[in-house]
Amino acid sequence: MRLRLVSGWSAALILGIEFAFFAALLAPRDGGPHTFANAANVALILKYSSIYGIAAIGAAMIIGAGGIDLAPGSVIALASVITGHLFVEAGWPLWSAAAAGVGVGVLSGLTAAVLVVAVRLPPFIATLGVMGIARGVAFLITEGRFYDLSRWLAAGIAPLGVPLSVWPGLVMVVLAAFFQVLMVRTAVGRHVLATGGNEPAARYAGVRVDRVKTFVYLVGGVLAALSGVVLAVVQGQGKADLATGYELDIIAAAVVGGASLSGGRASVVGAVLGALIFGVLRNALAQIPGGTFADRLILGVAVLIIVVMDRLAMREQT
Amino acid sequence: MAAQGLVVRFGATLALKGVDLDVRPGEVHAVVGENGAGKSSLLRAIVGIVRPAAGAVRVRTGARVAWVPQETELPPDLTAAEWIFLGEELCDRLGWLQDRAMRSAAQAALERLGSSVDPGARLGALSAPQRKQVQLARALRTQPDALLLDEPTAVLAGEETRQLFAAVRTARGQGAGVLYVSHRLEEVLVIADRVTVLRDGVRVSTDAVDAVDVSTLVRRMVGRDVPERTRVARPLGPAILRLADVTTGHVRGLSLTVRTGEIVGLAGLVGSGRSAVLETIAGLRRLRAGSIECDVEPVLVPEDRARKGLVRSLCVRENVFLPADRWRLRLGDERCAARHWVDRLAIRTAGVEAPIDALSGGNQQKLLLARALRHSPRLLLLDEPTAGVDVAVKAEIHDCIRQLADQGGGVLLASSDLPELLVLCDRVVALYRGEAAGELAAEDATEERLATLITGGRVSGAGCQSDPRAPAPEP
Repeated sequence: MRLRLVSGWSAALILGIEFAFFAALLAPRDGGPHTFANAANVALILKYSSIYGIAAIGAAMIIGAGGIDLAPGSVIALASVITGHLFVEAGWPLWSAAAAGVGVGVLSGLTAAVLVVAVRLPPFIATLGVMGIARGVAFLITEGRFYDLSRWLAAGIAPLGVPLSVWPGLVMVVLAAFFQVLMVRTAVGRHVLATGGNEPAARYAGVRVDRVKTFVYLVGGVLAALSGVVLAVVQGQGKADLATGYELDIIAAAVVGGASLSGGRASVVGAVLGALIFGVLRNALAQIPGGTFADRLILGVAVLIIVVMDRLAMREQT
Repeated sequence: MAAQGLVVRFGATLALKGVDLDVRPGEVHAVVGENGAGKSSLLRAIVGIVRPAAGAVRVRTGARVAWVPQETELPPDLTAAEWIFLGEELCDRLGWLQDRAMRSAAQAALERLGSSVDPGARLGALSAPQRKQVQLARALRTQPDALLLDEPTAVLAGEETRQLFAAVRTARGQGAGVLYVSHRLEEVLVIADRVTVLRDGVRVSTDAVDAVDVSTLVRRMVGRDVPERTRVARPLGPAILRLADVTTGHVRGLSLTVRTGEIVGLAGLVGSGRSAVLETIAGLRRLRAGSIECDVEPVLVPEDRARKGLVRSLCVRENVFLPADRWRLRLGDERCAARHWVDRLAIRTAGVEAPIDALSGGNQQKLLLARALRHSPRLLLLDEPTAGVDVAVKAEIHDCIRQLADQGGGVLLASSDLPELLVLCDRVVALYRGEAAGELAAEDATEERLATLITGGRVSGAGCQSDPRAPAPEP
């Protein structure tokens, strides 16, 4: 039998199977309320996955363009610190503080773009540098403290009439839809994937590859910072050691969602689904006694299994 | 070495439908055929890159087989010597690499091909013909018992081809069996002992070369007669491209003009700067000195379609529409237009959404041409537009080029294929080591005179254009 697994589709399929599996596994024996498959828990999964999911959208585009971004984890931390500092210490209004936090992403994205495009550093090295700088600046600002935003945020506030806890998932879904359309239905997507697939050929064809690369690193920076701001507001924390090691989870989400690390292939929706696959796994393991200790191990194995399955499906197609 | 009843299947298409072939020690056996006839598939099945669906390949036990594929991407950061010895590095007893010995052996292998490539040069810095020479040197160094060459001369110029033939003859003299795949029939008749014609995955004939001539082979390859085209004079209009003392890369002080309705050829050996000139006009390289006046938007069809041409991760349609015309894509319109071009250039593909890899080399080249023609260019810059393309497709591509000129477009055509320049061009500018070596009008141009110019010789009546702004003579 030939399974035609379009990238993105396969991630959706895996997510569905995974959810059904844990729903069955964690079904209450005594007929009480379901602790896994209920609306509140799904909202929780969406909320925590969005930190990875929003940044994974940018990662998918960068990987699709043949690059890599190691900075998102640190950019998330720095954005949360800047937002926290301006809101708590400097007394800025929340919206302004959040906008400044997103500004961190503009700066870090542009720095990475300049290093990759103008200085011609390999993306791995360029973003490794940005990663170190962003984390370092966050530590310098906080000097070991952390900003407690939750004390200052009125309980139950609902900006624009939407409860605070719904915001992260909403932002992720809206951004995923927007960037998916951008990648599939506009010239931007084609030029991104052409640049990643064969950069010289794209250049000879007349694609302005330097612009394309600048664009994806800028988007990657802004989206990472945005997830930092979301984290700061929703968790009520601005901390320098937040999101340590997230960059690899974010890359893994994009890859599970169908991005090829050699460039030329990526799916925005796939990346978000990838983040959700991990979100469901983390959430479910936390409900299994002793599960949290195994979560890194299981996540690692899951990444390998999913990517190998995808490769096999691709080979089947050709 | 022998193949019996080979069947090779790619998805739904049969590339080979039961082919028998044998190569004896000490002979050159040529395989010719149109694009998609199954030549490359045959070689790949023989070396074991693709698994045949039926049939068998038998190679004498212990025989060393060397294969030079038509197009490969080489690791850009390895040096020529490292590549030539990759996997068979010379080591001393402690396992240390013998770099000096490998370099000198690599140098010797390259020199046997008449190549001036420095064994310490990085592969990424080499031109397509130079990379081909490195590949050939790698294959020949091992003194293989069976040597499989796929379009070895597609990117080589005359002198390099002669050197390659000498090396092939030496290998044959030492008892090697050579399987030689080529589109250039004249060449095949010179180098081969026997020639097999493939058509649509079937073996049509195998003969001693003395028993066949070019027109017989062409008829068998195509299954019909291909009319010989000769150059037709067209009325020429005003100049649309003027190069004055252009210096770029290692090209120095080049002046030339292209007028509307004119096909101007750029002839030159490997490294003579042909591609650099075209890339500078297209704005892809910095102009170091001189001036380029271009009244229209030039459109370039680059050489080396695998590296500079097509994006493998995109489909046929997306490659035609690269870059996309408009910000918001209209996929329906694109599909429609892509189908139009596929029909118009008779591109053999399963559909416009098919992956590039499913197309044969000639069809990929036509696709690249479609991308350029879509813009209805007034000035077309072509760099080796028929490298590794069979006679029938070559004729089709030539017709497209003529048609464009008939409609008043200007064409600047860089090619290492001298007969191609002669049948197409109104004027040919010869380059030798980055400098204009002379210019021949179509009436005065012969293969011998061009060959003399591009190798640094002198030819009477081949004046260089002194002032490109001087009024051109009335047609």
